[in-house]
Amino acid sequence: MSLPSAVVEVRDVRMHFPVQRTSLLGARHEVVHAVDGVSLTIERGQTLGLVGESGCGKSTLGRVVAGLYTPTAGSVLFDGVDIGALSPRDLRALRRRFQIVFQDPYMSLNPRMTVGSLIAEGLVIHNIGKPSERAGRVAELMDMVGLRRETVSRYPHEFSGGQRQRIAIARALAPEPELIVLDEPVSALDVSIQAQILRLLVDLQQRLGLTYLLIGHDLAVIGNMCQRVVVMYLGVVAETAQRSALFQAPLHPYTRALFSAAPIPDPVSERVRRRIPLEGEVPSPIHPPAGCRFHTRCPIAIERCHVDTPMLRPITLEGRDTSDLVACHRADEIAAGAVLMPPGIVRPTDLPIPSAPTGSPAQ
Amino acid sequence: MAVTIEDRRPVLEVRDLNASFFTRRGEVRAVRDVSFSLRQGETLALVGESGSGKTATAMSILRMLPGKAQVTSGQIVFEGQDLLRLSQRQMSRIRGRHIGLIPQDPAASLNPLMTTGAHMTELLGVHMGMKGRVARDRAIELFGAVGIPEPERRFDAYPHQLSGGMRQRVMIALAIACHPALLLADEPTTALDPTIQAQILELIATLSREMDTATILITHNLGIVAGVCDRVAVMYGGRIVEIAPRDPLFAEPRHPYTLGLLECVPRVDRLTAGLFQSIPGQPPDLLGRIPGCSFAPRCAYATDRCHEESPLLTPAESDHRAACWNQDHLAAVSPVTPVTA
Repeated sequence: MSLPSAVVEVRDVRMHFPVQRTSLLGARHEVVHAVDGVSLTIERGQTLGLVGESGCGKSTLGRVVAGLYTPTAGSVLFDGVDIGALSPRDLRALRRRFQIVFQDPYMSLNPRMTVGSLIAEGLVIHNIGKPSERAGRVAELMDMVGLRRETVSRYPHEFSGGQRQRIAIARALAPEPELIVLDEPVSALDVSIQAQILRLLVDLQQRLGLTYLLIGHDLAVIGNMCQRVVVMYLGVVAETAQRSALFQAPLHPYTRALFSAAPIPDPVSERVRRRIPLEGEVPSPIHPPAGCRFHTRCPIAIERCHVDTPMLRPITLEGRDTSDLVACHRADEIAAGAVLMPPGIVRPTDLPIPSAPTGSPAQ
Repeated sequence: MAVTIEDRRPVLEVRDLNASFFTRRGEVRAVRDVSFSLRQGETLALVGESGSGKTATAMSILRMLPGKAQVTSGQIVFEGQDLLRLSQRQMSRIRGRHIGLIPQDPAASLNPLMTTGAHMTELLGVHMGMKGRVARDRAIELFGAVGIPEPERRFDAYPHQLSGGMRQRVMIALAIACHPALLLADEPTTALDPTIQAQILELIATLSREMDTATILITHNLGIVAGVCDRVAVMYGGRIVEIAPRDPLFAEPRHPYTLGLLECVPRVDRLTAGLFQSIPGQPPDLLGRIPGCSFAPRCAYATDRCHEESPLLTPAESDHRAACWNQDHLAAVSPVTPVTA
């Protein structure tokens, strides 16, 4: 069932970057293990959330999925086609079907191009439509994202952050893609504008049947947008689950720490929130720790965690199925409530079980 | 706790503050008739979005507004003296000594050519007259107090050798080094990861409690202040539109903008299927005069009066005040309705 509906399949992808470090002893060649063996599936019409902190590899993985990086190892299948095996010409043809929206709309839009030419650029590159028809298509795209048509010949600096992100979204939509990689699309925006852009993204997804890979560090945004969530730590997947399972009972200590750090705009909830403090800092991806990569900061690490790398595996627990996986040796104990009590904020009984957005338009 | 704060001496009183940016397009009135006071040991969250005037208010207090901006009227009484009447020379003895600043971006605030230790010993030398071994020991003690591991080793580290969280701890150590009476934290966690964000907020809260420092915490996100402040002032269009003790503000917001801000923060404890509440429209253009309430064009409760007459913060004698003609009506529809899928 799930196989034909998958738009993207990422299989054991590794993305390593060579770096040169110079010191008094001369130059040393080292490797940053940005992504180190990640597999995931993005289902058609759904949103997959990729969450983690700076340096966990989520943006790198997003760029691999968007075809901007060629992975060091592993493969990315788009509609069953291995992108890595395509000729440059075939890859170019396929590229219009996946697009990317970046975090910072101040950096990602060429300041010397007008809104109209920014949005039309994808049409020109992919040779879509006659030049005479493009103005009409640009106007239509501007309507779709809520930009006024009169602003078509203005420049990015004349717009606010939220409107710039609308330009970036219109630009991504132009070649009618099936998949859009959203790399922290609202992190740089004010709260009320964030909500506007998130609403727009949900609305567009429903109208156009888009598939999203949403990258972020804010669990609240991810949880309210996605059907499935992948939690990354230092280049690997710590936990992946349907959002209802993840939000009801996160099972990886790192996921629990992330939840416990998520602030809630309610003093009553804040008083019962218990933070799981993490020791130290994220280790270097040049020399990731042996065993479980999280063991240096994990509050419940045991000897085994220092040597033995935990595999992703399912845990039997109400609300979880075999696709909900966690990479922790002590996940069974955590599930049973024997160690690492859930942060005070997660009250499974209070959580409505969210449903996937349906294909029907909003309202 | 709340009772004792009432009896504390006021550290800061801002009265009818107005500040403007003078641009080629004209006068942008960034801060409009802002008044509030702060007592010893109290933490006030100043919440608002880009352009709401929160940072301009803080920079007015520090007398650090950029060149093209200036305070046009008002008083800023700090420990009994009006800061606006002081010379730059007098002011530089207050900044860093009696008023500490924790900036948004620690990377931009630290000199990349100076070690963390050099930053600290310079500050201790200028303000406290400490030198040599004494300054070094105190610096290491302060780095330890803000949770920097191996402070002796980090004393010789350059900013680029530290993570964002560590750099922010260095900034906090610098801000509290002279036991200031007032601490200004301008979006101190915006540039940090969530787990680090929580640590830094807790650190600031703990330090200001221990040192009995009055603290102004500036943020655009109401969510992050729920755990760490005593009172909240919400700013919009250069004005304070609502000010209240923390719990009533969250439980019974009286200004539609506060209500809107609370509803559009995504929450981990309330999942929806993408049905985000949002505030339609854009913040106001602060160039020149705004007739009526500046939020009226975006407000679901606006009446004719709102477009014509600017509301004042009322009721005047209450500690929970809102600048809204329809606040009684709004009180009837609050509290915030939970949004569920």
